[in-house]
Amino acid sequence: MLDDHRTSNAGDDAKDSGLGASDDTLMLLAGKGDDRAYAQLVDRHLDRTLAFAQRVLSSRPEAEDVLQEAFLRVWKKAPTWTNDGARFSTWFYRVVLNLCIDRKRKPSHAALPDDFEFADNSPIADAQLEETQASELVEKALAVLPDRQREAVVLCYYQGLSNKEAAEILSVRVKALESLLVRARKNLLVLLEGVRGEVLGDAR
Amino acid sequence: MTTDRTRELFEAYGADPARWPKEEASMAAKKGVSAGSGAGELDEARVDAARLDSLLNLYTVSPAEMPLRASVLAVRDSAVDVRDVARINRPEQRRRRFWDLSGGLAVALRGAFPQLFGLALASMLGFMVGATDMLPIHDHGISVDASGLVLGEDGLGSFDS
Repeated sequence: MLDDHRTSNAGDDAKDSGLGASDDTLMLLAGKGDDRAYAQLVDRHLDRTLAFAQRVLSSRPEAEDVLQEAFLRVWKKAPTWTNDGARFSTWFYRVVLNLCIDRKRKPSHAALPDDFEFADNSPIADAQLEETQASELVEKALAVLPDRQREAVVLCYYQGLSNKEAAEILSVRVKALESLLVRARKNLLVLLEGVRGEVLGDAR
Repeated sequence: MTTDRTRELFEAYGADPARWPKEEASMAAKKGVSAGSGAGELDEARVDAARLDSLLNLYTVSPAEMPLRASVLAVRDSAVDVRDVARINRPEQRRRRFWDLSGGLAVALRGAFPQLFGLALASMLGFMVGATDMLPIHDHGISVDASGLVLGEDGLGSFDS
């Protein structure tokens, strides 16, 4: 079906680009200068990939910068887009992930967050945790995971991707992905052990 | 599906079989394994997985706001601008455009208004001679029709015919 669009229906789709069109079709139309097709791609993928980048980077402003750069690459890629058997979303996740990795290589990401507390009797553990505080706590726990573990959890758990697609994005086998996931979740449990009672008191 | 594999699924994907690989999720459903059900020896793995799921679910991210969407779309426009500016500002193209334009204008002017063309050319030559002071003729009080240097012996008279 995607190939049918690519060869014969692109011009027709340009009339009502958007609703119902596949990502591949929208890329093809965007490559021909169709602004609405490009805008539709933005609407379709911005929120999800922004959440992905934010969870990988632990920073909203940096995630927004990454998404601007990522969509610029979409626009530049569109005129020569060929899916080559890969889905647009998989390709785009890779683009975003690589940009995130580049960001994390910068010095500001070299150190762990200064204010992160492991399980102990720190004020944050004893405090009455509001929802936002709990969210920030989990964010910080994710931030201290090794990069690959964090990426695996974000892709599979938060983004809800299949194990095959997540493995493809991370360029690993499914078995290796599962190993990353198991280690990530064990680490998260340890990291959050001290506050689990406080947080899960409401969350259970 | 073995007990060990089911435990691995809990540990990797969480307590909810809806998050598991599809084939194994349906196999688990047939065996009666679910997020809420007791699974005997797998109870501990399931409870731990459910606890962590509950924690992870607390981490929420707000959707993109309109300014971000607008700037993402604007980035596309700036990409077009950059491409155009780069093409226009290429020096050799800029020079070529100037001479193409100048040459075309000169031919058109000479054809339509030969006298005006001659006057313009003479003015330009006069300016060049005056500005550079390359010809010492002025120093000796000799007057010369400098256009002859370019237009031949007839000088400006060549446009009268």
